[in-house]
Amino acid sequence: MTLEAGIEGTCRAGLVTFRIGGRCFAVPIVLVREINRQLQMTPVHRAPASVRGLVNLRGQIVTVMDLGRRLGLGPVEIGEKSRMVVLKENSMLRGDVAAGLRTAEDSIGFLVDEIADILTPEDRDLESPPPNLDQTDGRHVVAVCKTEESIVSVLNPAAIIRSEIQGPPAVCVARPDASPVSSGGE
Amino acid sequence: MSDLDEELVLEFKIESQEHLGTVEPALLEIEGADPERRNELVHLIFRAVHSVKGASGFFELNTIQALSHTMENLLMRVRDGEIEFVPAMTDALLGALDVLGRLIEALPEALDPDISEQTELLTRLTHEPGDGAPAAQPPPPSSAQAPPAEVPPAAPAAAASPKASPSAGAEAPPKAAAEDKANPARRTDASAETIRVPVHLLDRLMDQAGELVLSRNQLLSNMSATTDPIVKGILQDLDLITSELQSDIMNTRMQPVGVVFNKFNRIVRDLSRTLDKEVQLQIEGSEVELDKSIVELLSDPLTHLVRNSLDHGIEPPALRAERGKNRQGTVALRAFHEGGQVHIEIEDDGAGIDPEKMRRVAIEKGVITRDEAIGISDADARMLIFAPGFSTAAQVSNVSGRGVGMDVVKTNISKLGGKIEVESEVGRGSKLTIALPLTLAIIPSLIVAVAGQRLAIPQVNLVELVRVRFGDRERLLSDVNGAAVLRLRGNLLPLVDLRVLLGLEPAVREAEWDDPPAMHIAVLQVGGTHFGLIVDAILDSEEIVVKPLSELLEGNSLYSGATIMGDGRVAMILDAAGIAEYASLRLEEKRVASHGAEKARTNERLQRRRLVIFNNADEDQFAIDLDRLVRLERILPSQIEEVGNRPCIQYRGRGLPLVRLHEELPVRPLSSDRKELYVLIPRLSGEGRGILAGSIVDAVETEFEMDTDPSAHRAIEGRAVIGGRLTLLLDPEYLGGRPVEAAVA
Repeated sequence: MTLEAGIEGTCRAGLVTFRIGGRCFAVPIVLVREINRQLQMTPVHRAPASVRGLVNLRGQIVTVMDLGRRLGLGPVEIGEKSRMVVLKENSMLRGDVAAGLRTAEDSIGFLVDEIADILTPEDRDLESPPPNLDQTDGRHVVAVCKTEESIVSVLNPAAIIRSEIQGPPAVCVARPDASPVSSGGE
Repeated sequence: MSDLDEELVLEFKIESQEHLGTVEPALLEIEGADPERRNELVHLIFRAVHSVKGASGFFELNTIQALSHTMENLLMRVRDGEIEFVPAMTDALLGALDVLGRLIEALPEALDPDISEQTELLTRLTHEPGDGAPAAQPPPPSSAQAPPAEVPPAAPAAAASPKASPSAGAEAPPKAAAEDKANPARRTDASAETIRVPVHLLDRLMDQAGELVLSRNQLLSNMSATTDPIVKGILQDLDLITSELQSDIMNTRMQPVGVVFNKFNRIVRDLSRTLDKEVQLQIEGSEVELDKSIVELLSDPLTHLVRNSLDHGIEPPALRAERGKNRQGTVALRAFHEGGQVHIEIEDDGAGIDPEKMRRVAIEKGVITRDEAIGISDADARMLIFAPGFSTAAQVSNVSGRGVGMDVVKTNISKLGGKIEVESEVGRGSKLTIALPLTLAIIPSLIVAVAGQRLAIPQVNLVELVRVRFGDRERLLSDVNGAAVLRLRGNLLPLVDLRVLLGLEPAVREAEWDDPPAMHIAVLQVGGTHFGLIVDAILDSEEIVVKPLSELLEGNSLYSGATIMGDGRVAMILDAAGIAEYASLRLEEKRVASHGAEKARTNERLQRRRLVIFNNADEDQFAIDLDRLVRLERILPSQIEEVGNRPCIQYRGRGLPLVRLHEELPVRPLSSDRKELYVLIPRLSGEGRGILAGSIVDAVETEFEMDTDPSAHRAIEGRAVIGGRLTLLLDPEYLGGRPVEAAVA
C-alpha cells in the first residue's frame, strides 16, 4: 500500500526509533530537537497521568510525557537506558515536514525505555498503516516501517499530544507480527 | 479565498489597523492645533487613509475602498487648501473611521454594511461653502458654521458607491499617486526606523538570553582562577555584553502606557457628549513603560474605570455649578514609577464615593448583611464598588451601572499581579490607584515546601504567615462542619492542606514538625476571600521568572505557571484563585463557618464587664464601660447649640462639644422628635466631649462574648449580644477626636 508522498518524504529523511514496553515506535527525525537523559523531573500533581513532570532544558521548561502510559503500555520505568526525546515546537518546524505531521505549540519531551536506532528507510520499507488498525486511533500512527527484525509504527506526535489534551482515548498499536491489537488506554 | 490571499489580507488588516491607529489621535488633536501643526496632521491622516484605500482596492474590498475614498476626497481638499477644516469634519471623519475600523476588524470576512450615512456626510462637507476658497484666506468662522449647501452633482457618484466598482473612485488615484511621489522621503524615514517582529520570537530571544546568562555564570566560576590576561579580558567583555544583551532584550518587550492612554481622548470626548457632561481629560506619564502583555490587558479595566468616573463621578454641569465647582469636570489619568512598580491613577473631581451610601446600597442588594455593614470601615465600604453585583447608579444608564464590570476589573487587575485602591472624599472626587508590576515575567514570590518539593506562591496573594505551635493546636485549630478552620484574632479562617490538595497523603505532620514543633500556614487572599494554606515549611522569598505551562497542563487550575530555581530545577507556581476554587472556598462558606463558630464557644471571648447600655436611634443599641463615664446628663433638644457646625451644650459654665454617633459610625441618626436626650460624658485624655444618646436602656454588670473586627472603625471595640440585642461596644477615646476645623471643612 502506498503512502502519501509528503509523509513518505518526511520519513525518508530519517526516523528515530525507540522501545516502549518491548515494542518499537518511531518519530521522524525532523520533528526531534534532541535526545537526552535529563530526567531530573519536577512532578506535577493533579496533572494528566501521562505527564511525568517538568524538566529544565537550558532555561526552557519541557513537559515530559510518558509514552508508555500514553500508549497504554504501562509507565516507563526510569533506568540506565531511559531517554527523553525532545520534540521541536511547531514554530520550529520547517518546510521539509509533511503537512499532517506536527508536534505541539510548546516544548514536549517523550519519555521512552530506550533509543533503538536511527533509520533512513527506503521507499519500499514504508507503508501506510494497515487498514485493520482501528481507525479511530489510526491517526496516531501515520506510517509503518518494515525493518529486518520488526515493524515500526511511525507516530504523529501532534495526534498523541492533542488527544491527551482532549481526553484520553485508547491507542492502537500495530504488533510486530502485523496482527493489530487494540490495547486499552489508561 | 486562497491561503495566500488570506495571508495577505491578514497582513493588510494588521497594517491598516496600525494606520488607522494614528488617525484617531491626530483627528482629536486637530481641533486645537495651530495652522502649521494642523497641516501636518491633515497630511498624516491623508496618508494613512490613502494607504488603506490603495490596498483595499487591490483586494477588491469595495466597501472599505469606497469609504476610505470619500474620507480621502475630503482630506485632499483640506490638504490642498481648497476648503478650511471645520469641527464638523472631525465628527464626520471619526464616525467614518469607526465604521472603517469595524470593517477591517472583521477581516478576512468582508462585511458590506450600509455606509451611505457616512459617505453622504463626508461628501457634503467636501463640497461645502468653502468650495474654491483659496487656502491663504481662511473663510470667516460663520461660513464654517453655515448649513450645508445642497449637494453638488459630483457627489452622488461617491456617495452611492458602497457596492460600486473601484472605478467609482477613478478620478482620485492619479492625484493620490502624485502625493506618494511628492513625499517619498518622509515615508521611508518613518518606516526605516521600525520593523515588525513576532512576539514569540522576542520570547524565544528572552529565553536564550537567560540561557546565555547561565552559561556565562558557569564559565566565569570555572575560569575564575585564570591568570592569562587575554582570557581575563575576554571574560570581562563577555560578562558585560551578556548583561547588556539581556537588558536590551527585556526592553524590546516594553511599551509605553500612552498606547492605552491615548485612546481615552476619544472615549472621554464621546462619552461626555452622550452623558451631557463637560469633561476635560488630563494625561500624564504616557511615556512610562510596561511589559507589552500588561499594556494590552490594561485597556479594558481602564476603560471601565474611566467610564465609571464619567458616569458616576463627574456631576452634570448645572449641579457642579450649584456646588461651586467649575462646570467642566476633570478626569486625570496618570502613570508613574513608585517602589519598583508602575502606578496608574484615575482621578476625578466629581461627587466622590460616599461610604454611607455604599453600605446602604450593599445591604439593599444583598452584597453584605446589615451587621456586616455596621462593622466595616469607611475604606472597606468604598471598596464595595468592586463587590460582585454592586452598582450604585440610581438609574441604570447604557454607559455603566449594570453592576457587572467593576468586580471584573478588580479580578483582571489581580490577574496581572496588580492591586487597586480607592481614595475618595465626598463632594471632592475620587482617586483610584492601580499598582502593577513592571513585567509579568518576573514576580516576587514566597517559596514553600511540601513533600520534599518546592512551590512558589505569588507575593500579591500573600497576607501573612502563621506558625502554630504544637501546644496551641487544640486551641487554635478546630473543625467546623468537617472543614478545618484556624482561629485567628477572633476570626475563623478556612484551611486548605496543600498535601491533600495535591493528592498526596496528608502526612502525620507532628513527626515532621520542626523544633519546637509547629505547623506552617500561609494566609492567602483572593479577592475578598482569605484562607490558610498548610505547608510543610516556608523557605524563602524570591523573585522568580514565570514560564507559562504547556497546553497539556492547561486544564489544571492549581498552577499559574512554572519557574526555574537557582539550582536549575523546576518549581511549580501555585494559583491562589485556582486553589480557592478547587477547595470550593466561597464567601458563603466562610459565613457558614462563622455561624458555626457561635456554637464552638470558647472562654477567651467571654467577658464580664459593667456597662451602660443606651440607644441612639431606637433600633441601634450601644454600650460603654461604666467605669469610663464621668457623668450622665439629661438634656432638652433645645439646649443644643451649633457652634462652628458642631453641636455643643453648656456644661459647668463651659461649652462641651457633642458627638453625634451617626456622624462618625455607620449607624442610624437620632430621630428629631425626641422630647429629651442624654449626654454621656466620658473620662478622656484630650479635650472633653459628650456623646449624644437617645435613651438610656440600662446599667448592668453582665457576661458576654465579644466579636472583634480589626477592619471596623476604631471606636467600635467589638460586637456582642446583650439582653438579646446586638450591641456595639464603644471606645469613647476614638469618638469625636477630630479637630473642629476638619469638621467645618
